[in-house]
Amino acid sequence: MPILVNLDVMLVKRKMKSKELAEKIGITTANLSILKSGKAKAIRFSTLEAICKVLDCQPSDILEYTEE
Amino acid sequence: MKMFGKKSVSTLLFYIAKATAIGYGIFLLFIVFAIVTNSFLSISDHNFQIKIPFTNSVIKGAYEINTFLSIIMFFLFYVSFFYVLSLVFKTFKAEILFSKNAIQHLTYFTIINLFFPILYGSIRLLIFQGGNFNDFYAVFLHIILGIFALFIATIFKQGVQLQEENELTI
Repeated sequence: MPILVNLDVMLVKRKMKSKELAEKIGITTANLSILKSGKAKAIRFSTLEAICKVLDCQPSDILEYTEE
Repeated sequence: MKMFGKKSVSTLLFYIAKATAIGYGIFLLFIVFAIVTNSFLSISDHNFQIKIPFTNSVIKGAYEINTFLSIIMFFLFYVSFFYVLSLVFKTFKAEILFSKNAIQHLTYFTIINLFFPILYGSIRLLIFQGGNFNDFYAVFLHIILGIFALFIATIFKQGVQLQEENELTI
């Protein structure tokens, strides 16, 4: 997919672990892992909003478009 | 009334279809047994009669290979038809409706309804030079059922795809 999920980068910047983020945004670590690995087909606005709120960032910090 | 899942219409239809398939299977075995062993079978004036045990009914027809083949083909078809139909209903009573199993069983159901009636109709028409309106009416109905099953199988393929996408929406 030409949409990259840069969640790992933001997690490192905020010095936060995946498990902690998953708990704070209310999704399972398995689903967060699917999101981080780029296997997810779509992301809900509510999930994106929660991630942005917890990591104090913009959607563009997490999602990136690249040419295939 | 629940159509899908446990304790639903699909569950009831699964058991009915399976019992019917078993019934046809037993009947087929009985006919083969009667022909092979010559028991329950009486022949007179180029006609045969097979007495069905515990009933007053008989199966009768011309004492020709065509008739025996037609009877065996008929029962073989309905054994496989009801068996695959039971498999289709079995997938409908599962927790997850859109599954690869459902597509597979619907495809088998399509093949049985399209391939066998056409084969049967062709044999009756071309080889045995026979067949009546009821035979071809049944063939026509099964072909319609096969085409309908093909559409449902295609809808299920899209359903599986949508379900996978839904599961991967975080």
